[in-house]
Amino acid sequence: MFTGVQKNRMASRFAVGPVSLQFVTIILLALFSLMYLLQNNQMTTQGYKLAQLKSEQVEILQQNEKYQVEAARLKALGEVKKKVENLEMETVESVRYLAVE
Amino acid sequence: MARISQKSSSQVNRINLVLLVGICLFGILVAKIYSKQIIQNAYYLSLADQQHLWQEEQKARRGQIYDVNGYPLAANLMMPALEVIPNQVDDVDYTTKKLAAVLHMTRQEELELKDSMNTNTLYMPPIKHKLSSVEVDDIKELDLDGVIFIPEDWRFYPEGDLASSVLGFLDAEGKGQYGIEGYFNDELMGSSGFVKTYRDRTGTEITDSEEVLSRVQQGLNLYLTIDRSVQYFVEEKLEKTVKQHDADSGSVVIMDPRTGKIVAMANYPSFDPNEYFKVENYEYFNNTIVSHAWEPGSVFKVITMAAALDLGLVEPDTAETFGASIKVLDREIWNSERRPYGLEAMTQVLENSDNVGMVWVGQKLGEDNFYDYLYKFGFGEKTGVDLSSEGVGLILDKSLISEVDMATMTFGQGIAITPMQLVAAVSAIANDGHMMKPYIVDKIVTVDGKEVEVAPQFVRSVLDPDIAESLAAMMVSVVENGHGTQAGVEGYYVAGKTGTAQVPVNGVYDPHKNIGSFVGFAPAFDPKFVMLVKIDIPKNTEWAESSAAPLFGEIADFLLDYYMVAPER
Repeated sequence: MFTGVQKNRMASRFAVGPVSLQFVTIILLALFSLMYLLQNNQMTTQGYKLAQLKSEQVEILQQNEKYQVEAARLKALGEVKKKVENLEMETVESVRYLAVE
Repeated sequence: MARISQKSSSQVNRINLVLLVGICLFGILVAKIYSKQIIQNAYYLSLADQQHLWQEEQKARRGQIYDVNGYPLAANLMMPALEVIPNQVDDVDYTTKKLAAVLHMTRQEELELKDSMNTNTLYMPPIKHKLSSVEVDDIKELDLDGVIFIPEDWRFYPEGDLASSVLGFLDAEGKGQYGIEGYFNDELMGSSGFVKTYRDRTGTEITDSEEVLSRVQQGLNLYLTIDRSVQYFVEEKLEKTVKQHDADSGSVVIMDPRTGKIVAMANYPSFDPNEYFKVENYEYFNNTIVSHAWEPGSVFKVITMAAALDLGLVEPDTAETFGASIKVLDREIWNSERRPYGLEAMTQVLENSDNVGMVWVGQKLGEDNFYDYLYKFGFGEKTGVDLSSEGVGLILDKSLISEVDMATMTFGQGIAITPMQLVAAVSAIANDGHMMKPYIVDKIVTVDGKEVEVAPQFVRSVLDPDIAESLAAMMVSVVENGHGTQAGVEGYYVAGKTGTAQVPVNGVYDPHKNIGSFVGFAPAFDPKFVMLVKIDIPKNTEWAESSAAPLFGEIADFLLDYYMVAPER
């Protein structure tokens, strides 16, 4: 006897009509728009981070190149000869070849 | 009832009117949106692109140059330039003062900088190029408005003046001049690419939006055949010899006769390509080994002898008695020492560097054969070495020469050749009669590591291998018994020939000027190198056996140890 009355109450509370459909549609649209904005913002933020990392990469590569060039300069024979002179090394006067069988 | 109906009807009409107006307004709005977003879509997209779309040139980096063992001889270095955007500078006085302090400017320079910054423009030329890292850090710490760093690519030669006449240099406009930089400028330069990116108001790239319009082609890296250790030793000894004899200049070129690879190529005086702009005498930029011709003198006798031997007209022990001079037409041609050598075999003609003997050989050869072998040995044309400004020398046309000209050409006067031509020719003697094309670039390497090796190139067979060997033995005799003793190396057979050439000045040979040279190879019967030493106008010695030959011997001694060639005897 009571089941039928309760069912009706539930149904009347959650009836879906044209107005509620419009409301739900507007809410969904707003949600999607928000999601799109958030995602776009995230992409842009990551894009800036990427640009910054690229810039850092370029700086590090330039620094690396500087070190390579400096290493080449230090290995230049003129520089090596100066160091050898400071170490008071002697030139080889004669070379002996040994026959190995 | 009727009154209520009238009232409702007018209300409805007003509502309908409002609705109509609303619809019209909405329609106008939709039409406007349609017009802007659909019809004028391209126009507004273009406006937006102008604000955000950047088309940038991606400059190719110049290829680097290495020696045969991979040591960099020419490298790239990114160094920042300091620029100021005048209309972004808040406090000109403060900025000027701070920058002047960091850059150690004079008072005058500081005032000029201040004047430039007071212009309120968008651009002024860079204040300083090639900032050091200390200067960059100091300026960054100041955090000045309107002050920016622009990265610039610079060419750096880590070995200083080593092999400068081979390398050339990069000028201020980024174009290679002289040497390898000049000859291979297009290959080293690469080509720029273009990319499209979207950037915000500050110029920062928005997301990863780069689109490649045309790909950048980075410059190719070149590995030379030059060995920097040999080059360094040669340059050091050459400079010492030139100064010792108070000569005008000197050159040394060393080549592998089996392949044509140039191991060292040195000219003195030279220059530092890092500071090419300080050079006052532009002659120093020229690689005289390839560009300048000279009358070689007696070193050329080996060529004349080679021709006669190859044709079977003489043999090493063919003997004849020669006087101190020989008359050709109305001209008396003398030996350099103005004395007769008497009975000589062809080997002794070379040992004694007998002009009279050579004229006799030349007369047996005749013009046709002589010229035939001149061209076979590559004289009168470029060797094709991969360096800029190569000369061809000067050989009188066969139809224009007299008997006297022919006679003098047999001992290297009245003919002009380049050192490169002579080394290539003598390399044919060293290489069993086979001539190889000289070259200086060993391999080309792309940025992504792809290698292309340059293969040795056979030019032609000039002499019979047995004849080449006989001639080598004769040249050993020159070193052992003749004028080339100071070119010898203990324990090895060294083949060679001296040459003390007269220098023509205004059509007449100057008695006070000579060019001393020595050309040879070692070990004579399995040569690892061919070398020419040339000392121009030494002041304190007359003969090549005292100027060029000792330097040859010193370098040959070094090379035989460097290449770990065991003594032959």
